[in-house]
Amino acid sequence: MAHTREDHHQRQPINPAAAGIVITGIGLVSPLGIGTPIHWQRSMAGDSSIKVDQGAAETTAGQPLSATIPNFNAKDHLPPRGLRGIPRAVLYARIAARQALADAGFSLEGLEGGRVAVTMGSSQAGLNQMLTIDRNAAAGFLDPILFPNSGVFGPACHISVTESFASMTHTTACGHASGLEAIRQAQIALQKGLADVAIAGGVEELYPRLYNAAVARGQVCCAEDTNTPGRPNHVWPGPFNPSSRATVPGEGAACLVMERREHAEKRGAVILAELTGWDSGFDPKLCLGEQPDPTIREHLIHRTLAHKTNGPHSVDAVVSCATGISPSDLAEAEALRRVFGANGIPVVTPVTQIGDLYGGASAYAAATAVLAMRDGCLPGHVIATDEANRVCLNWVQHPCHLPIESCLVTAFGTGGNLAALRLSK
Amino acid sequence: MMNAKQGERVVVTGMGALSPNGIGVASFWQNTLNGISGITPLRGIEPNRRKALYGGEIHDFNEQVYPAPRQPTLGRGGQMALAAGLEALDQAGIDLPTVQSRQTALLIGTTMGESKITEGVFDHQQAGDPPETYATHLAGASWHMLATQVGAFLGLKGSVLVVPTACAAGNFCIAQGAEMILSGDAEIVLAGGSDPWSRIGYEGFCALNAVSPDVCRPFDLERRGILISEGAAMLVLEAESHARRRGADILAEVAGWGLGADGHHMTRPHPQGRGGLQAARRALRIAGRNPDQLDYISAHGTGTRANDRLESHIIKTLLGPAASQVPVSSIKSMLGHTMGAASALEAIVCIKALQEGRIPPTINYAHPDPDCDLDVVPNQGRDHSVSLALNQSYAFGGNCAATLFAAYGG
Repeated sequence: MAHTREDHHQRQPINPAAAGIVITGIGLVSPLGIGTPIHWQRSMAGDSSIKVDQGAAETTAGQPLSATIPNFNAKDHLPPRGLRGIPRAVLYARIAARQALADAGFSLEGLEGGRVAVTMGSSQAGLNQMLTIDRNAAAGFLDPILFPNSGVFGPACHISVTESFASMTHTTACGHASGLEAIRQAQIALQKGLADVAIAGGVEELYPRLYNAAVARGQVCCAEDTNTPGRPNHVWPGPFNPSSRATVPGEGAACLVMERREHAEKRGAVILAELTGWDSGFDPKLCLGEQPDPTIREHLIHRTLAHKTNGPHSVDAVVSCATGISPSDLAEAEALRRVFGANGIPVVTPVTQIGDLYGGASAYAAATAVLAMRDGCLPGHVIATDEANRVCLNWVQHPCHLPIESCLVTAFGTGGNLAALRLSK
Repeated sequence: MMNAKQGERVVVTGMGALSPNGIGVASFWQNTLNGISGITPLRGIEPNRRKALYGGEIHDFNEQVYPAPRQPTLGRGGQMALAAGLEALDQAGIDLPTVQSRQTALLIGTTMGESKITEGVFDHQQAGDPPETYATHLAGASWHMLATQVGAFLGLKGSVLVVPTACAAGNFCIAQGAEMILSGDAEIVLAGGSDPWSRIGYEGFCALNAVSPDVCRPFDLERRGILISEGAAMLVLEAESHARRRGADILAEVAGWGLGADGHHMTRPHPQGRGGLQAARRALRIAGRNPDQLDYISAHGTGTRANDRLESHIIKTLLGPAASQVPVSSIKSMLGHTMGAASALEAIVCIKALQEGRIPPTINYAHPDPDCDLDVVPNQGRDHSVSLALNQSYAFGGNCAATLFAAYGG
């Protein structure tokens, strides 16, 4: 199907490649593991961290599922000072940022803090702490340390403050697209010369109260069979499945180190990927409870792919933030079919392994795309269903090896906030 | 810069405002210029939780004004942003079909988000209500929902974002919006900030001993802290060529913008004002202007000891000996701290000052502070020709942003 940019909007294509923005480091804190090597090893082995949440109250639909980071102890990963009153999302982000910098070959001591920007995305970070503040204040005792750390700006600002990174900080909240928006802000900071190095990512933590509310709304998948702990996934229809109405909440952080190409080359860094396309938009229908519009997504993908190369043919795989909530997933599936053709391109959805990271999902998906290109392989899905293939997507069922020169990352989540990113080797 | 539109200028063609001292830009500006305070005894908090007596609430705004039958989570923050946004679009002469057919982006800055929804959840829990009764509300408490609901109401197709960079968030949005116009990411941008009066914010700032027991006295030797307030302000941004093509009345040019970071402490500003200086200098650099060309500075001016001393230091470092010649006023003396809306409201003040050649006062000023030896326009607005105005803002976590507005000469 031939498309030109003019078919879609009279807009200039986004051109991140003009200034050669590259990724040189990855840091991951996920339910599969803290640290990129262990996470990626488990991901490629087809492991899943989704399990029955034994702590959650059973509903009429069964026992809810979740993907949490087990036995998390911040002191195992961060200096012990100053950790009191800090939300887990902040800690996850700080750990992921440190790992990403180390992966990029930076030592904290060797970095010029005034030339490092921090941009993060999240949609729920700090909310739990706000509820705690309200509760404690009503009870007559409020620890003053809680309030300044309760904002969603906490992850970016804590990275900046604790590591003395002072070029600029930025936080974006736009649902699943938050991480890709953070990457965009980092790209702008680098292109404008405001920073030499940027840490961009996304983060979310799972709060019992938010989680329980999502369960009550019917947005969390529940396991009908709770007698098989560790293997509940078969009861979740999963992403791109017309019968799925719920997701599995997850938590974690993903950070990328970004630089201008010449900066990375000058210091002899290993360049993992280059940003070669980006776009964002909004689908008001989703928010209004109406059927989402595949055309908005289709146009957004075309604009993302419009620059430099031959459009859809230049992409080898899609890493999607599809959640398992079918109206949104099916609109994305339709858009992917229109752009790439039926079964035209391998599609992977990390949600099947680590749950829905929400504001952290698209940064995590971008990291997955970079790792897939680096190693020439795609993680598979651990959900035993071929429903996604029935909606004519080449949904990767098993981990596989194939050469990947370029990946499309889609963040077409449930709130209507949309973004896409193309990464190339 | 991507420079899809090299040589292009970003202009403001519409403004909307809700503040404790006036609903609508005309009322807000007139009262601000005349030094009329919007601070009243607080109604937004139960008497038994009251630690400070005064704040800035918008009493006459009906938060149910925009019917949203399919949007049960359009909270007060969203309602306020929507009201300000519609006023701004109306002034810009842009109707909803135009907004919906163009690549229109929405950027709303905030500190507390839809905190009233969050507080409502707690109230339900306290009452022992089952999760089903407040589950939908809690979905609306997610930070992005403030903009998402407004974007859905307006039927937007462009980027819809919340920029929750706390008390500098309005300026962050204007800066980001200007970048989006220049890069071709958007044709029209609605950018600003919104924060409803927040019980959580009130309690949090009280716990930090940052709230004044009576009035807000920016730059005064006897200043005792901030007052918690609510407000919203939105600006319509577009490329100059876009505005001229459609025959719009251009109110001002967004001549420069800059972000900065202290990288120092979550609540205390950097002792040399690193992030604030960086933001102001970046804004001037983008504009190609020098500090000595500034005619007016709209201060962050919260009324805390640390902020006002540091901001004075920043202004004196930026301007050198000329610092005492440039009028600097803080409208927070009249409004209190409207959080994420503050710098967006202050952007409107800058633009009105450019248009009318008048600047608002810093009220409640009685005792000069040697650390803040600036011309703070004490207690009375004045006539003053302004062609370049700097709007400064700082926030928790070292988030700093500045915007620079210039008179539009065509």
